[in-house]
Amino acid sequence: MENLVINLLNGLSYGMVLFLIASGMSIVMGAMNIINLSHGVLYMIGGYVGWTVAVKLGAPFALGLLAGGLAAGLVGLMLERGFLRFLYKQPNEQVLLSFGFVYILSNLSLWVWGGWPRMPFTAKFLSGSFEILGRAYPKARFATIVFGLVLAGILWWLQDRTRVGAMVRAGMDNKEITMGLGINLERLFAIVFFVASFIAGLAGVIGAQLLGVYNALGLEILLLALIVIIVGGVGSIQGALLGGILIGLVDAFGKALFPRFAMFTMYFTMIIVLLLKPRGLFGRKV
Amino acid sequence: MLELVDIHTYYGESYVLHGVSMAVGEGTIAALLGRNGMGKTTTIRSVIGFTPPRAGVVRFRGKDITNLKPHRIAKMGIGLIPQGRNILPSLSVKENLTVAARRRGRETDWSLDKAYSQFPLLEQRAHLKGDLLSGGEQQMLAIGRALMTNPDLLLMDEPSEGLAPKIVRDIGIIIGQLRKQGLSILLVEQNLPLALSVSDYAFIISKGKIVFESDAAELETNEEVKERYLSATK
Amino acid sequence: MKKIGLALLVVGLLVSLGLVSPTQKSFAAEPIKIGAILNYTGPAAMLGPLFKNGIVMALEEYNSQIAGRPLELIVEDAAGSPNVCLEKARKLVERDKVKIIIGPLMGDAQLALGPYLANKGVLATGLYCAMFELTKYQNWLIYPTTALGLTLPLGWYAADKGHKTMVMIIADYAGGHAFMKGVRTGFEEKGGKVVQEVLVPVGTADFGPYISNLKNADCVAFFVPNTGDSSRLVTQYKEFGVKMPLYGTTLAADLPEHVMKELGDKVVGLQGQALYIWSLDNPVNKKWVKAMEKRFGKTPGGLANNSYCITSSILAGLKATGGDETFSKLWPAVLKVKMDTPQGPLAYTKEGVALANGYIVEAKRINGRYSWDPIKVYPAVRDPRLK
Repeated sequence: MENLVINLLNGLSYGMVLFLIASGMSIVMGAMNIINLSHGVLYMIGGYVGWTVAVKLGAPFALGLLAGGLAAGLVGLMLERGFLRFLYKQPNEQVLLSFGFVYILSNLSLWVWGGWPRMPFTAKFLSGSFEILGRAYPKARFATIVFGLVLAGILWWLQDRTRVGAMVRAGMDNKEITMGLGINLERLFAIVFFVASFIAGLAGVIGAQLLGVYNALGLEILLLALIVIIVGGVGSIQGALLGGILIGLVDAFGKALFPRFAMFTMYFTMIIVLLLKPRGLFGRKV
Repeated sequence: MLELVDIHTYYGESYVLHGVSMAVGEGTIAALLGRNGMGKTTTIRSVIGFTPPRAGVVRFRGKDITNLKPHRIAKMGIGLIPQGRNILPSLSVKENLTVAARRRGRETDWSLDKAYSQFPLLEQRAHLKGDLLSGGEQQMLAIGRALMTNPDLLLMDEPSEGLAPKIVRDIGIIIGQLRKQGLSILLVEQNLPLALSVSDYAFIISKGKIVFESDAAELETNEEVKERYLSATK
Repeated sequence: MKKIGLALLVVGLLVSLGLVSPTQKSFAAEPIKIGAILNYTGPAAMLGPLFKNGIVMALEEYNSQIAGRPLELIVEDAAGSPNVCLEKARKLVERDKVKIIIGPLMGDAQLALGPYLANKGVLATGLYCAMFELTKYQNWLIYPTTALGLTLPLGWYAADKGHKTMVMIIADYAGGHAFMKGVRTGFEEKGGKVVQEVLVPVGTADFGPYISNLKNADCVAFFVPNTGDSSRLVTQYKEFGVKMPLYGTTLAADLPEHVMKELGDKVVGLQGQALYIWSLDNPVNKKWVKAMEKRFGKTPGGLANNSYCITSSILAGLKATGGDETFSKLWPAVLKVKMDTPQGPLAYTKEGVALANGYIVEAKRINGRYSWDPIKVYPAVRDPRLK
């Protein structure tokens, strides 16, 4: 019984990190039809900056979290305003360009922070563990679940209950008509891109509690995010959340029950979902 | 209110408008008539900026809007009711109405309450997703949506398309009410009786050129012109 | 006139192609080229410079020349890929004409190079152990011992401490299995029993789920490659409050001082096996550490020790052959080398595998400084499969 609960918590905490990274990328894909492969690098930059602020400079973890988000948000905004927005109707070029940025930004990070990986870090009050059903469980992982749920709530509220969210959804439905009604989608999309990148940066710092930060993260995280988006569907917070939790749980239980094949459980899940629901669990009717 | 001067518009590589000139007077309804594929919708798209003209000038209230972005044109006071309604399916009825709403600070401004009283059916269905409505309800929603932006000029593209006769009559009544409230309307229609019954002035477009214009009443009695340019559209 | 012009043209062409030299260069001045394939990019990117330091120090001890021939080092980037390593090896052998290649580091790259280098008669080496399978080519120097040999001492040590049962966490690739096989061999040799093997895929970021599902035993031993994985495993192990004592392999290399500092108290008390520690108390090491610190501005670790000892063995062999690098002469000469190295006495088996000390170390914090402290030594460790 305790094993079940522990594995569940492991899956949820990992799943929350996946949700955070996938949500931004999914919304950008749904709203702006932009495939931004450098989203994973934004996660990494957030993690590195968060590390610099919270570990190297010794500031409070929350400040590192904010700094990581802002750094990623700004880099993402520069990417979109400076480069990606000229390629709105050219998906192949977007893929190439954003992939190019993966290399450029990864190498920049290598130059700034060096090749040695950064250790996992968290807030002082979150280090250590507390007892659940007689077993020790790290506080930081539990906090990750809480944080993820709170953020999911905020994002869902923004998406479904605010006028700005309605504008974004309108733009996803029919870009031309929405602009014809007087809504400045270009400016709105830039804001969406910034927010998506900001969240990627937050994810980087949250994830750093479990995984630390290292240079290969850019591509590793991208792969995970893509799997979550394929499973959860493009363009919705609900999809990213469900996809993230599902993959997280599958991964955790896979590692617990058949550790040697744990690598494949994610892909099996993806294949099964694609067979049953090709657009993903919450895919938009496009 | 609206002036098109010698507009040449391409749709992709296709040369659609070959020098269109027309106008909509303030507080009047101008009908743009013609068979399928003659360039009616392209004209609307040229005004709102979806397919801007390569040559010629579009003026709204005296200002040159020819090459402005659609959202800026719309904000200047032009409301779009596109062909096929184009309701936003991810949004509820209420959200469809409010998402683009703008106030102009006048007493007669359209608000959600006013829209609901004009279209009570919409209030009943306020929380349904837009695409769950019937064709007629969607048309009402499209009109309401445009009105919520409090425009001075409406661009209506084939509002009667695919709707039952009773609904078409209701639309005619609504258009008449809007005119009384001082709105200017550019009405693209294939339904000749509807168009002529509400419009003040009529333009006929054929193969991308305006081939005839007159008061609506005059066109009504001109069988020869109707036969030549508008037959097989009844 | 025309014929002379033609002859001149042909000669000029031949000279420029290097096929004929106008003056016969004396054999003595021709450099001995030594190739090295080190990691400068990819997951082990930070290790390349460390290995290079050891090589350079060895070369400079010989004043970069042997028997009047200058020693020329040509370094290529392994780029973390066996394919790239093979391309680089080809380039070194066919374009640069080297007969000696130091590295690459990774087992899969070594296996990829195996047949090619054997075919070309090149003296090959690992950088940090290598697999026993390579001995079949009879041209590989394996230092300080095979992967299995490296971890034998840890298995012995766990048994010596009185543990009867063990859980193993193994990175699921050839190198991982090879390293942990040594632990198991040593442990079982002394009567221990491995009750669970947890295989973790390479590139696992979150070990949490694995840690949560370990069986109960007297101790846990693990190998995961590189700093990132090791440090995450140690951190997550502690976070989950697992009580079983944790033993690591290759810890001293994976968790150098600055990384230990970042890990802080999580790492204190961790025990594992190491092939070298800068604080080893022998005269050769004390001198070497000072020289390295002076030359490169930082304290050397196991990686620099490895490349230094490997290079020194080769250079000693070259000295014995009078600067003749042909494989048939150099190889037996190197195998005969016996020397005192910074990490202890060194000799070679006839398969080309080194016999060196194996150390057990413990992470300690002394006066605010973190270090790995040698607490036990097993001399001349030998893979049981060697003759």
